[in-house]
Amino acid sequence: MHVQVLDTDVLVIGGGAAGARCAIHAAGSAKVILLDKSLFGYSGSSGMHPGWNMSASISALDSPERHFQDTMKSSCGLANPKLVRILAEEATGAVLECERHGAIFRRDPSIVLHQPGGHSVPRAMGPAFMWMESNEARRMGVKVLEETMATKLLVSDGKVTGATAIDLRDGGFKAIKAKSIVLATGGGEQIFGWGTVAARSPCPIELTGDGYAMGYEAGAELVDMEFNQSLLGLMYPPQFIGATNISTGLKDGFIDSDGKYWLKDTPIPKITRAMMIKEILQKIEEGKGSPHGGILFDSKVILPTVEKEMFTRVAFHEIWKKVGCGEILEVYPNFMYFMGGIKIDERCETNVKGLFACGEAAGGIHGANRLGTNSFTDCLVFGSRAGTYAARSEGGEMDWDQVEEEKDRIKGIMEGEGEFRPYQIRQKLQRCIWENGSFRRNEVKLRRTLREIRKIGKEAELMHPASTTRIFNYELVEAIECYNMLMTAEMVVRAALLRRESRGSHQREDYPLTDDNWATNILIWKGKRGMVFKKGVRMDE
Amino acid sequence: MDEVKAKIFRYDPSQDREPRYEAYSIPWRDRTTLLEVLRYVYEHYEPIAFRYGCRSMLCGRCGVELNGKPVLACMTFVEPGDIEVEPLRGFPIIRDLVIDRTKAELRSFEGSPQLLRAKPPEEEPEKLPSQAVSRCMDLLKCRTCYLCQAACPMVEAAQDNTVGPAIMSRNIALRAYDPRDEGDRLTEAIDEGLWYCSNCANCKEVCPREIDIPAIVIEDLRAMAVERGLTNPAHKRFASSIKENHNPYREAHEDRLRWADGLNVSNEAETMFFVGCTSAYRRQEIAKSTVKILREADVEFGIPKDERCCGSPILRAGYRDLAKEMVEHGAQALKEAGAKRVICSCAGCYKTLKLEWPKLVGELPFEVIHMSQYLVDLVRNGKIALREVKGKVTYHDPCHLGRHCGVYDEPREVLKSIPGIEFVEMNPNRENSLCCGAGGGVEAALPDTAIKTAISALEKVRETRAKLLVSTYPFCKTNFLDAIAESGEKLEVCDLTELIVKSMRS
Repeated sequence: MHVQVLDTDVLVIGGGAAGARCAIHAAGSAKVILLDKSLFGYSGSSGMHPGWNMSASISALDSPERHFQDTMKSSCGLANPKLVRILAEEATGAVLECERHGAIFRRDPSIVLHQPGGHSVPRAMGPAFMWMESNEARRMGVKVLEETMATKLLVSDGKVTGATAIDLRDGGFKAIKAKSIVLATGGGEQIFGWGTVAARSPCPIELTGDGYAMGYEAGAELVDMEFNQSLLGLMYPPQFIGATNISTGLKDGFIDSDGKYWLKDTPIPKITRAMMIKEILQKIEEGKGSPHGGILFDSKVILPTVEKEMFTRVAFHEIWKKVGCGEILEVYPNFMYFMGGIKIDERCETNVKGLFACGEAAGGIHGANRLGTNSFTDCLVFGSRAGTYAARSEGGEMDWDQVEEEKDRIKGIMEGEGEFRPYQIRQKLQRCIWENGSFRRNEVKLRRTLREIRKIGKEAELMHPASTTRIFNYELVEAIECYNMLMTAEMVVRAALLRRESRGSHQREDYPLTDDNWATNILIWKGKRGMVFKKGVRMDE
Repeated sequence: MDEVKAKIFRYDPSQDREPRYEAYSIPWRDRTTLLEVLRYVYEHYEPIAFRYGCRSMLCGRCGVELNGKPVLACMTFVEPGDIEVEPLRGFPIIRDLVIDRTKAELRSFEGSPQLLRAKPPEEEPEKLPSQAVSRCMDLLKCRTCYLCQAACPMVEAAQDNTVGPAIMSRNIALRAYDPRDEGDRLTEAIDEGLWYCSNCANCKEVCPREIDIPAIVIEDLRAMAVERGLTNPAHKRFASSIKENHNPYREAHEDRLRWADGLNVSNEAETMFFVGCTSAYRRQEIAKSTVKILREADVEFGIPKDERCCGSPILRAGYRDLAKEMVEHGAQALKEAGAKRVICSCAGCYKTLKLEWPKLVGELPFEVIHMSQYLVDLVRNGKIALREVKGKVTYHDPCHLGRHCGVYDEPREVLKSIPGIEFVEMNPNRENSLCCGAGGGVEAALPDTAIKTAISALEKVRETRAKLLVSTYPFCKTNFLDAIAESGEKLEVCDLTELIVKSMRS
């Protein structure tokens, strides 16, 4: 296998909103290469999110202080106040920059603001478009490598020196020298369950925790990995998993197995997203769920909102036309966001010199629960910061032995023999996490999941792609993703085991109450003998 | 158990000399999606290459062709039985169903889809008129899936002369409507092929977000261009002819009814025949056939005394003020003639009267019917006797009658009711039928492109082995005849009314 060598100042891994914004800001003063595992402008969660997708305190009723308070409150006290302060203060500038890049938000004639749950004032605006950010990055001279997947970060003397990558289109292996690297790889939602074509998540298939795994391997610390946010979505028929979500406004449609619309009389302000999920899981536990383990949902309640919500919910109208309004469908929570991620400072730098992280790949901004629409803002604010600071990094010397070693690993996966195809390992892992590591966690279930993860990790050694083609061999990508997902899953499950309380999105059956002694974060890093977990860490220190 | 039998396009340039098709069986259940079919093949047979991501029509990455129609695999349901899956046409192929979008993306990028303005606004956020913004919102529904690009007949026929519907819409029109943009987007639109659209509406047909590209992109941009004086010379010629002579063909208005000399047609009746310029001046055989049929069926009918252009060509070309004059006159004339129903044998007139006149002059006091629909009634009620005509016949759905107005069944029913006719469908047909390339002012402005498009549509006729091609739009007939003259294809073309007359006589 031939190694193609590239040289750059800043290497951005990930082509969503955070990666694009980072590349734009770095490109003003540095040479930038951006890797996207799929198509730049259309990949990741940012690639599928018009609608009300960003929050900033632009209203006269609002202030950065208020945005800060709302975000801290929603995080159940776990977010890093220094980062949240930056988020609140830089949101307006970062969001309006989208308009300078070409986005145009709904006007009447001032920007129309929407108030998602948890915000004390209307603060959400949109739509912003990923492809406008990706075009701006191209205009700034960023070299974009599409369908190219980073496989490993190279570190010498505690400093990143570059990364290796494979080109999906021609199977080529690349070593990219870089003075700094930014992980903008998004979350790891794909570890949660499997439907018929993807995980039980509305997020796209590429969110496999690549940044968490690569950052961890490179020595970076991670935080809050036990906090995984969910929202309700269709679960049956299975082809609609992740296709659309069910907002609290549709609560009237839920039916228990006695035929009772039991949430009909509860007024909307009393129902938050988390409460609705709790209510529904409770019903299912009581044995009043639907035939496939969810809850019945009368989609007739969609009808009056289809036209009205056309732009607030992405593709709402068209999807419901396909799904068929008026039918009784089954609903269950899906996973849609990782609050946790790589620990960063105010410059978005990690504890590894020259390694930065931003967007969903980074942790510490949302604590135990994220406020709706804060995510895109997070990507824009911290993406810009990561780009600005990454451009100032000094380089180190790349260790070629590491490149050779990684090349051998990839070659091993390609040429390896064994009984499992990558998709089989992947789905085994996904099903195991879904069954015992997703909702209503407890000690027994989590321990079982952990044992299962280790077993699947062993089986992964017997994993190999069925095809040897070099052209668009997606199985090779799936295989590498499997390792990343295994690592991400272990972090999630072990952190969840450690946190013996319920807080935000992390709900334990055996510890149902929030414990004030647990108002601290769990830190994870790679020790000499595997993963190290440290509890009782405070982010504001 | 029900099964889907999928024939899938396979091509690995590193291993295969040429593309091939492989067949796979996949278990079917209610609303199986095409993406599930592909994933099933990937897991249970062999790792075919295809792209996808969000599974909810948002990321636009899973575009493929299902039985020749561009679709998003994620939310397209398949029925049990045979299906064929191919990559989107018009793009280089990376492997199997994965296309290379780079060229389209870079072309889009070169045209600067970004906002062009010299300096940022003094105050941010700036106030903007909500109407202009919501016009942009309609275009921002686009998910850049490029299905329209694959569906557009002009992308293939005109090659690099047009950027195609996706980029024309998402980049150029978006910025042309953006109140903040300072770029000369209309000149850009023209340079990038604004005149190449034949108004076939196939883009709209395949768009997962149901964006009406022909209307809110092409016609709106053309109207803006006309307002700015950036006219196409050929369009300007026919527009000025319509202004002076009330027809696009530079013919004298007083000759309009010359074809009906000696026919003693009344000018007032409850049933009015709206002849249309093409039948009046260029395809008089269709006008005459229509009259013969109506006479044979003893229909009391009239032809407007002072009929003028229905407005179709000038609406397509963006001359909205002039069109409004024509429409006002036309509606008034038909009203004065006492019309309760108006029959058009021209699909272009039919679409314009039916869909666009009410928008310009309000609700019409009469019903608008296409001749093929009227023929169904005449045949069903035994008003005309059809005798045997032998031959293998296929039918071309004119875009204006089919995709624009949804009339597909009536012409087929009429054709099938003629004894002796062996009717064969072209593939693709109905909603997906190929445009002849003449509409939207293309025939006038870019005759070579129109003929080239018709020649590729004729390939589909050849595949049916039909000897006769029937249409219901005089303009399609003309263009097909021109294409046959050019290509030497051995094929007859006629209008549905002509075939009916033949059948009445034999």
